[in-house]
Parts: sequence; C-alpha cells; structure tokens
Amino acid sequence: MTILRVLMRGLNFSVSWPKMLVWLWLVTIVIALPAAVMMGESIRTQIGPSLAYQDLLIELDLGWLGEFRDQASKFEKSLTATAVSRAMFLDNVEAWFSGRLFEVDRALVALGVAYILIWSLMLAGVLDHFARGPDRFQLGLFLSGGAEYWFRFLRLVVISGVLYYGVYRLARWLFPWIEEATRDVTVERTVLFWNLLGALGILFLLGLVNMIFDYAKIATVRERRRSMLLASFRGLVFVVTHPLRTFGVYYALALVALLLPLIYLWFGPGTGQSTWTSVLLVFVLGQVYLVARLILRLTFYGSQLALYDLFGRRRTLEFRGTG
Amino acid sequence: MEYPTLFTAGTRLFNPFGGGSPEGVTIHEAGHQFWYALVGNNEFEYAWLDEGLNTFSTSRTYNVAYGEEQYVKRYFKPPGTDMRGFFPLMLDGIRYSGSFWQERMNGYRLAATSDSQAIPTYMYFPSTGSKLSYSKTALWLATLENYLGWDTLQAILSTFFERWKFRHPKPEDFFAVAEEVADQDLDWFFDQVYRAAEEFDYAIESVKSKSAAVEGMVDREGELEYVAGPADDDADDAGGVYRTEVVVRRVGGGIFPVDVLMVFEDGEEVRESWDGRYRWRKFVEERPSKLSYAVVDPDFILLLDTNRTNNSRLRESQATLPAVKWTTRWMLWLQDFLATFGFFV
Ligand SMILES: [Zn+2]
Repeated sequence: MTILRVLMRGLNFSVSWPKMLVWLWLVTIVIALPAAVMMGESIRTQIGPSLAYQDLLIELDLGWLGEFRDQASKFEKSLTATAVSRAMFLDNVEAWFSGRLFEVDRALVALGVAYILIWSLMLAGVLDHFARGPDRFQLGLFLSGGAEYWFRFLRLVVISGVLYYGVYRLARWLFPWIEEATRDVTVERTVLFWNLLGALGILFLLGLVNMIFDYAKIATVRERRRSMLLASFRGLVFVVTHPLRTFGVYYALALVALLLPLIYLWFGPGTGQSTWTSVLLVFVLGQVYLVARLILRLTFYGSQLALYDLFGRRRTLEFRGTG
Repeated sequence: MEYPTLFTAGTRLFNPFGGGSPEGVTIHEAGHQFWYALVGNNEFEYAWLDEGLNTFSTSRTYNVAYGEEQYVKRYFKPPGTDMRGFFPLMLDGIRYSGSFWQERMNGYRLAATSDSQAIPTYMYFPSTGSKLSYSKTALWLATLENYLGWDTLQAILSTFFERWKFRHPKPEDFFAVAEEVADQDLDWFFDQVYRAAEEFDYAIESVKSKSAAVEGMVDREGELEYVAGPADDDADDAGGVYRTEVVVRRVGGGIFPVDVLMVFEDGEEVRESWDGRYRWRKFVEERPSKLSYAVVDPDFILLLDTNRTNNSRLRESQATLPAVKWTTRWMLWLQDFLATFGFFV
C-alpha cells in the first residue's frame, strides 16, 4: 500500500500550509484580473442601455453573443458559449490535448506564457517548502526558495517543451494517419476506437514527459542540482527504475483529476443567476473549483516527492534546515 | 444530400435527442423533394430558390415537430484533421432568446452586404454562398411571414409549389406568385432583400425624459415675467408632467416599416408606427411619468435586423450586473486556461 500512503502524504503536503494555497490562488486572480476587467468593459459596452440585460440574466442569449462576437477582437472572441458554461474546462482540455493551446489569441498566449514564468517561480517555492517543511508558511522564505530554483525550473521548461512539442507533432501526424486509414470504414464506432487508442497513446506520452520532469524538479530541489540535463536524466531513471510506483501514483491522481471537472460539469451552476448574491455565489463556487484544482496539482508534487524520498533520494546530499 | 426521389442523411454516435441531429438534416433533405426535385429551379444560378425555401421549411418544420433545438458542442476532435468531435455535449441555458431565426442571423450577418442575392450563385464572393443562399432567404421569408401572416405566406408557398411543380421556375416567378397571393406590391421588399444587398438595422439612438416645466420669459396678463426652470430634471414641479423624446434611427440602408414602443415608469405604453424611410425620427410624448425604455420593432417582425441589441434603450442602463455575471464566469475559464498552461511547468 505504498501508493496510498504516498498519496496521503502528498495531500498532507498540499494542505499543510493553507496560507500558501491562499497566496497561490491570489496569484492566479491577479494575473487574470486585468484581462477580466477588459472583457467586462467590452461586455458592458455591448449590452449598453439595451433590454438585452433581461435575457442575459436568465440565460446566455446566443443572438446577443453573435452580435458581440461580430465586432469583437480576437481576444474578445474568447467569450464563447461553452467558456461561460459549466463545461468551461472542456475547451481548455481539448486545446491542451490538441496542442492548440498555443494557437489562440496572441494576447492570451502571452498571458499563458507569463503564467508559465510566474508558476515556475511559485512551484519552485512550493517544492522548496515541501522539502524544508517549515512550521508555518513564510512568504519571504517561499519567494527566496522559489528564486533559488526559478531559472533551473525554466531550463527544465525549455527541455520538456522540446519533448512536448515532439508529442504534439506526433499527434498531428498520427490522427490524420488514422483518419486516412479509416476513411472507408462505415462504422463510426470502429473509427472512434482507433482514435481513442491514438489518444491514449498521446496522453500516455504527455503524462510520461510530465512525470519525468516532475521528478526532475523534485530531484533538483532535493539534491540541489545545478545541471538540468542531469536532473532530467535523473527523473527519467527514477521513472524507469520504479515504473509501477511512479505510474501508480500518477494515474491514481490523474483519475481524481478527471473526476474533479466532471463533478463541476454535473453539479456546476446553470446560467440563470439574476441577482448579485447568486452571481457572487457562482463566482465563489468557481474559485472553490480552482483551489481544488490547485490542491490536486500540489498533491501530484507532494506525493511524487514522498515517493522520491522513499525510493530515490541520494543520501550523500543534505539540505538546509529551516532558516 | 438530395437526389431525385432519394436522399441520404448522416448521423453520429451519441447524438443527444433534442440537439437537432439527425432530425434537422433529414427534414432538410426530405424537403428537397419539394424544393428542387419537384419545383426544379436552376441550382447553379439561383441556389437560394431551393436551398433558401428549404431552409425556411426545415426550421419551421423542426420547431413544430421537436420544439427548440438545444445547444450542442462536440468535443474530442482528432488533432490535425477536419473531423468533428466524437462526443457531443448538450447544455441548457444557452439559447437564442429573441427568436430561433437568430441562429441564421449569426451566419448571414457576416455576409450581409457582400453580394446582391440576384447575381448567379456561382459568382457570390467565396464562402458566402450558404450565408446568402440558405440563411438570408430563410430570414427574409420569416420576416415576410411576420409581415403578411402565416396564412398568407403558406398560401404563397403552396401556390408557388402547385404552379411550378414539374417545371423550372425563375426567381421572378416566385416574386410574381408572392405579389399575386398577398394581393399587394412587394417589389419594395424584394428590391432590397434580393436585387440589392441592403443591410437592415434600426436603433433607438437616444431617449430622454425631462420635466416639462417652462423656463424663460412668460407672458402673464400682458406682463413678461421670467420663470426659472426646474431645479433639476427630476424635480416634480410642472404638475408632474415630463417631456419624453425618443430618437429612432435607420442605421442600415434597408427600409422597412417599424413600430416604436415607449414604456413609461407608471406602466403606460405608447405604440407608434413609422414607415422607416427617413434616416431618423423623433417621437415626443408629454406624460405624467418618465420613460422607462423604448423599443423599435418590439415584436421582432424584421428578422433581417443585423443588430438587435440597439433596438431597445433604457433611460438608465442595467448592464452592470449581467456584465459582472458573464465576466466572472469567463474569468473562471481564463483561470482554468492559465492553469492548463501550468501543465508545461
Ligand atoms: Zn439543401
């Protein structure tokens, strides 16, 4: 039951410093807020003094949305029917899976890249905190720890980025190939089967790269590594030498990661909010979803760190105590 | 796809009932047995004649048979292919609030002034063919239905069918039948929607209600006396009479007779008709209550109006709450979008 123990340890890691969660959540809010203010102004201008507000308080009026999108910039066009529905994450999952995440509006991609930069810093701070295990969250310690590993993590982003790019290129070759190979198949189920199989392959590779570089980051922090090529190699070696445990932990959490958005899809709010209270409630509910997603992401790292500590840690290197 | 006495229609695994597929395409292709197979127009030059009439028939039939089509989005589109997603997701609370014909408007609007419908279909600007042949025709037929009434429009369609089945009608033949059955001149309409590429857009440009109290020199029994105006527009010192001015503007080139509805804060309603010809018109009312809002074309007769939002205007905007509502929801998407980028860290 190593896996279960490791998962519990990981969850323990991710919720041990509530202030850290609040801080990370605030960071996502701060990054998203300027764009949201811009979008809000566009929506408010488009509704103007018209009666359109009535329908928009009951449901999403596709007629109004069509008018909005007709004169919208590419950035504003990210206001789609599904983006504001309780299926909002599905568009992102689809864009992530297909690699189109980097092909949306330039301003949004720039924001995404900025997020990668900032999240690298945050994640470095998180892992440093996990490794040191201070009694309480200290922002100064968090940031200095983050700063120490920030550029190393960015180098890992570049190395893993090359591999992710390779996987996406493979997908762009694989699926058209499946399409061509099944073009005369008359049963959709068969076509779906081969596409699902292809998708499983691509997802496996994306997950594999992800996992290897999770351990590369963990090894970097645990062993204070400076060479990111060697750290990547260390991540690979750890996964290859402990396949059942590493995959077990990763997929157990991936399963939960799948469940979380499905819960939001099933029980998430409809589109009928017509009072400030209900609008606020939906906002809070959405943020709860995001914090849950955040906790889940940290649990990935925490569990993998715990697993690495059990089976992978080099004893020769000691790390600093709490400063 | 339609063929004489035969049609084919595709469906997909997991199609949810109520999402319009495969019912819509089945009705459409069956409809072609009437429009094109029996009434055999030239599809290369006047595709709108069969596709447009058929699109109108399809939507009307679908709505009578199944009610409103629900919003569906398909996911899991194989990357790098032109295939559509395998898994459809049907969501409620996302619909065309004003009229289901607005789905057609969202397509047509993009090509509204691109070409006159009258030029041969194969000469339409690239990728505007379906917008102009299918959507535009459906919209002007639905507008005509609202304008003439369903009984008249149905009589037009059935007369056209009876008279031209097993024959080869041209557009002018359809217009002749329409005028004959409706017993009125409709050239003004077909000139705009068919022979020209006019865009229709009526808007309430401004609304204001002010106290009707006088300000200035007033003749009081031979003596001129200065009377100060009300301290502010809200002051109720003209015996509670307010002067309301509503300016309606024809923004688009297209002309269509419209009604203007003015609703006052005490619940009173005033409805005026306007031939819609001149570029603008001001309506003035003096009433014991201020205006709440004004709407041009309140019954949504003119489905060809490319901007429905500007058809109404409140004296005081209510946009903040819905803007915050949809923005916070969009922001959640954005946060999730950014977190997705976090995968690559
Ligand atoms: Zn057709």
